[in-house]
This record gives sequence, structure tokens and C-alpha cells, in this order.
Amino acid sequence: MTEALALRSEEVPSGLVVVRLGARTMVDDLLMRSVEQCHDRWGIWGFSVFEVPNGHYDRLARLRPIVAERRQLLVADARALVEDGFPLLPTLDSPHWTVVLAAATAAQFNRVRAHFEGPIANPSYRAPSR
Amino acid sequence: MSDMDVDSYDLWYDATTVGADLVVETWISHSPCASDADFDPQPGDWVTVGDDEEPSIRGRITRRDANKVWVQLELGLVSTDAASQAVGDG
Repeated sequence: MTEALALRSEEVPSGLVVVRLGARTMVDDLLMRSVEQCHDRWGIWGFSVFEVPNGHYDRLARLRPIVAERRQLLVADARALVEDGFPLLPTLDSPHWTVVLAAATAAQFNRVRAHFEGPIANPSYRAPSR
Repeated sequence: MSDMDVDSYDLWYDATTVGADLVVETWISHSPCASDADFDPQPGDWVTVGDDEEPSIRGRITRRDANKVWVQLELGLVSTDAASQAVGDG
């Protein structure tokens, strides 16, 4: 049974940058796993992204400590995603958003993947101490 | 990044779904153990999670619902370090 989809009262501001953690996270098979989990939870096809608050990666890492563990990121302009037909929903707690797809198909994956640049080096990466 | 950086793990996870509390939902059916009938993780068990990119991370299972397993990650301690500590290294 799906969960009720609760949304924060936020709109997508202009200039909003969103990221996916990792370099391979948008390849078809991995993206399909993420999209399936989203559909199972909320009944919509989509996947998670994190907002970079005002472009500050260190602030994102404070909000989501897992970010500092990742060497590489994929980056997208949120407004461009919306304008190309991929709504962004303010799901869970900030800085989490869900990019909505019309279907879990290779064609949709190709289109949405084209919006993500990178991988780039994570500015907030913290190398593990030994 | 080289393939040498990728290691084995119990459960696959999407790093962008990890919460502020470091809890992440994983699916057994999405993981290397999907075909292992003996793999039966329970709350309280320690497991490793990975995403085929970064070194696996150790975590403790907080909840299980059939195929779904929620794991709280132990950041700053990759699985190899955890294994070293488990045998009393240092």
C-alpha cells in the first residue's frame, strides 16, 4: 500500500540547483531501481534529488551528512527540469525533492538524464580519516 | 575512479534517499543477496550497504517489512574499517 504524499509548501525557485549523489546513479538499471522504490512508496514514477541551498554545498552536507561521503555528483538546473516536463515535488524534509517522470521508460530516462551535468567533484567531500 | 574502489555489500542503496537521520530504505530484491534464500536480515543486525561506486558502508537494520529493509548508516567508518575493529585491531 502506498503512503500519502505530503508536500512542503515550497515552489521551485529560479536558480535552484539539484544534485544526485554519485557518477553512475543515472544509468538505466540504477535509475530504474530508484524509480521503482518511489512508485512503491507514493504511487508516482520519480527519483530523489537534493537541493543545494543557495548554492552552498557545505550547507547541504550539514543537512544530509551522506553528501560529505560522496566524491562525485550529478548536477541539474531545477527550473530547466520543470520547463521540460519533469515536475519537482518538495517531498520529505528539506533539502529533498522528487523529480517526477511520466513513466519508467528508457525514453524518459534518456530525456531526464540529459539535464544532469557531470559528474563533478563534490565541493563538500570529506575524505575518510584513517 | 577505478573498479578497485568498489567492494562487495549486502544491500544496494540510493545515496540520494538517505535521510538526515542516516536511515535509508533498501530492497532485498535490488541487492546482490536477492537470490540467496538464506539471507534473512532482521532488525538489530549489522549489514553493509553499497551503490557500486563508493566503498560500502556498515549500518544497522532498524526495520524490516518483507522485501524492504531500513538501515541506519554508520558514517565515517567504511566496512573494511568496521571489520578491522570487529577483530580487535587497534
